[in-house]
Amino acid sequence: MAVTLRSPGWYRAALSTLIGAAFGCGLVVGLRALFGWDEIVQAESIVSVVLITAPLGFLYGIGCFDYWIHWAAGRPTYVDDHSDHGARSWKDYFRVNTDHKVIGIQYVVTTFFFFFVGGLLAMTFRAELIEPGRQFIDAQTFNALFSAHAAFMIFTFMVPVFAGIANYVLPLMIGAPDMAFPRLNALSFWFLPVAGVLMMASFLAPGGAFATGWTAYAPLSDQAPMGQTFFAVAVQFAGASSIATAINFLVTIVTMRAPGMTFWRMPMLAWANFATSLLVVLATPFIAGSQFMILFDRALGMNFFDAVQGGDSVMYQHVFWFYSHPAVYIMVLPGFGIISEVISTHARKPIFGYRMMAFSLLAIVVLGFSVWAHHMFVASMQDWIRIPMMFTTMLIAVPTGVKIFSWLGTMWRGAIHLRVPMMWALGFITMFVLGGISGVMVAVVPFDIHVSDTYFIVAHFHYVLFGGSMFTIFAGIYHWFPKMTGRMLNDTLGKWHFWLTFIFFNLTFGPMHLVGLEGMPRRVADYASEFAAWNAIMSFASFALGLSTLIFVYNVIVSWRSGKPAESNPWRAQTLEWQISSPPPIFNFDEVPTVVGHPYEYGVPGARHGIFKHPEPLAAAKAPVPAGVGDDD
Amino acid sequence: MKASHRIAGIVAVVVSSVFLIAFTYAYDWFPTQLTPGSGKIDGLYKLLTAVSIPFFVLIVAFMVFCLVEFRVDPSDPPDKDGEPIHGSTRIELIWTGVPLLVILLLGIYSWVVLDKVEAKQKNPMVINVTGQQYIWNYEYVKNGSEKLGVKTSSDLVVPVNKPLEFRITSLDVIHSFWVPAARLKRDATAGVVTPLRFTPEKTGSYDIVCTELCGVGHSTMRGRLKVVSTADWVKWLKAQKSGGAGGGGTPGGGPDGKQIFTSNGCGGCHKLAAADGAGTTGPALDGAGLSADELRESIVDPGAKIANGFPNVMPATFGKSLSKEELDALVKFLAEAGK
Repeated sequence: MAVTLRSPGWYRAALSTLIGAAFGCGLVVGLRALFGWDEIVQAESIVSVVLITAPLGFLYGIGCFDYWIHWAAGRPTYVDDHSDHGARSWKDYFRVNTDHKVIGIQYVVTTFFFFFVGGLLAMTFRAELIEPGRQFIDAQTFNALFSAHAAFMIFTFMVPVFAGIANYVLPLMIGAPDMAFPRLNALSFWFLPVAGVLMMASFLAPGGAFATGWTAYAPLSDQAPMGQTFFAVAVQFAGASSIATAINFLVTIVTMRAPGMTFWRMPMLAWANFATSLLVVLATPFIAGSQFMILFDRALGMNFFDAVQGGDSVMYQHVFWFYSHPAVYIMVLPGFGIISEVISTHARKPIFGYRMMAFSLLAIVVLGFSVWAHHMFVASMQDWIRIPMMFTTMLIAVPTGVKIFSWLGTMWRGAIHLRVPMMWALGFITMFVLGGISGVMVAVVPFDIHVSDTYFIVAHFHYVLFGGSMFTIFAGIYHWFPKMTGRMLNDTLGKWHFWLTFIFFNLTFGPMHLVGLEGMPRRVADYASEFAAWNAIMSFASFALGLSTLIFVYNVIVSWRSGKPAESNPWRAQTLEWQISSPPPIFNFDEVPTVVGHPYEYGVPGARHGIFKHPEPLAAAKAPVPAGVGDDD
Repeated sequence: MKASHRIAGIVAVVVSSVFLIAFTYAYDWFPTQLTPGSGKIDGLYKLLTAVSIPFFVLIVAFMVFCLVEFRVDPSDPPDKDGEPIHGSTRIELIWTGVPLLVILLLGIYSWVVLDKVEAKQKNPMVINVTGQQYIWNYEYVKNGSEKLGVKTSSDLVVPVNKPLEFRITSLDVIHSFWVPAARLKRDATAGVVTPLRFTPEKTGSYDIVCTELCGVGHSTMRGRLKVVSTADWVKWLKAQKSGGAGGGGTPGGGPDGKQIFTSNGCGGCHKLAAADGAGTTGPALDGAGLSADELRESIVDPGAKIANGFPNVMPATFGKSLSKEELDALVKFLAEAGK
């Protein structure tokens, strides 16, 4: 037992979580006693500290910090022979692992778990909205449900799932044996379940879960019950996770490309993640700051946002949106990368205007930082700033348009295989164009003044994030599933999944445009009876939309266990990840690839993207056991 | 591709674009138009939609065309590739330049519309609007140069065709004052006063909706805007000043506790048969049997004692926003009605 408790794993994690909690508790109670304050045991302040110390205890126990602690303490660090690489059984996915392929799958599976949590929350409050009046949820719970829905979908699904897909695919694509900082990579992943569990735990807090929206506007969030503290801390863990991953991607892309792979020979997915990581590194500290200010307001009485004490709640919105608008691009640029890979591969055509595609990504990164106040056109801020923000926001349609037109250009005179990933990609273009059009509309100040904070906005961002980002995620999963698991997904089920999702997505979110224009505000537990018919339709469609994803779950589980074995390159793609076995060998490339040309030279006679030469003698001596990983899945 | 197919495709694109644009202009998208600005904003929406439709139709049509024309079929060799076209600078310039131009023109036009909608009018009636969890308070400051000095927390009654200038702020969290019929809204933030201007052109009763999540009672924070003829408004004003219907705390009749309960939105959270309160967010007041002192404490400092099983979410601002007389009247009313 003593050995189990000393070596990293779940037993030690359980113990050190308790120790962390006890330490936090003791710290607060001790300090309060020392200063002789009235209430020595005060729940809110204890919780604020324990929510930080207990997860840190967990992360230590599970083994995220072991190597660093050994090194920092001057104790002998174990020789990193990478023997922990790869997953030999399903249990390995529940351990700290530094293999980017294992981490990629940990990420994707964990984030999809939170996707279903978020989806169930949404269906619960949609059930409440079937009719006007109160059905079975009180107003406090209703507010908690939509707040948690958004928080789960954004912080524990949409942002990290792209990090997961890229974690798996990106090092393979650029010919790297792993990410630049594998231990940091593992830590980034383990932050994520911590964030998700904290948000789930907030439902048990006195006063219920956080109920101030994912935007947590002050001063409402300053005064909200304890669940708000859970949110403010969870965002720190999720934010730290994305910043660490982004740094990892940037360094990996800059320093670990295979010989011969210049920036202009990188696949679009690498470009997209490069652009996204720039956004994450620059923007995420702002939301961390905004939530720390809320936390300090609540725990320490800082009065950052209390007007009576000289605080300014409009400032909260500026700081918050300075992250949260770029976050929209964080949640869609990696998807753009996926779509470029999928369309080029399945239309068997070079990307149309490759350089413009890369430049438009960078243009979106730069412009993305100059538009945040378009979320505040009706807020109590200076009037003049609305006009420049309107123009910069509308301008983003230009590079985005370039991307859409270039994808269409990529299909022109191609040899199109309408396989399931391609269907999702084309579904994405259609839906995302609609979301983009309503995006230009809400950028227009006078129109936005009417629809701001109505269901029109809800419709708009679901077209962008579900019809947009979510469709790219499905496209990516259907595209790379054979590479990740060595099995093919079932085509027929994939097509059913696509069409049912496509139809019920539109039935759920399409009518929201109409009720928004007619005057239905968002985030309300009850609404005027004139909107009853549309709301009933939207609710039932949302249940069907939820059910349609079960087809996907079934398909993934059955195909992973007993699907048709995948060849190394089932789509005959040219990028490097398809030139090795499915799933890839433990160290990705038994032979170091040399890149000699562009990644999408379909139809160019004799063109090659990468060639494999024999490894250096030294590396050959240490060559590990190849392939066969995860064969007992 | 056959020429007849090409013509059919072009016809389909044109017909569907024309149909969708016609539909955009014919369909009734919005609530009643209350102000001249309402029409301008509706027109802007229709213009934006009409400009967007051809883009959308062309994109979808192009995709469908590619799928029909360039899809591989079983007779193709298994390793068939597309043509190695890498791009075209001319086409790329066009699809960067044309949207840029369209966007700039739309932006400039929208700017002009915004200026017109928000233009200041001469001699407006100035009304201070103060949001509070979960009601709106109105203070009629002046009409042109004439001082008014009337306060109410029930319906917002205004004369038709009179330019109005609202000065919006909040006592507690952020609210947003939205009149859908005027197509205008503005946040109410404590410590900041922001203006909102419009001139109602039609008499009638219109919604006022809070659109910024302001807490547990957010969805109950709705009000009425009553636009009446000038003569009716003058009558209403007189009644307010003499302390009749409004319940504004005047020495004459004394404030009416039931009226205060209703106009402050208490019934949104508390069940009380005597004043038609039906809410369930807070504890029911029917048969609560609280003493006057307990009631007073629960209103002024609601966090002091929390009824079992209920969240600590009642606004703490009523102690500030109600006058002493109003508070006394409310406590007296509740003590009797809730026995």
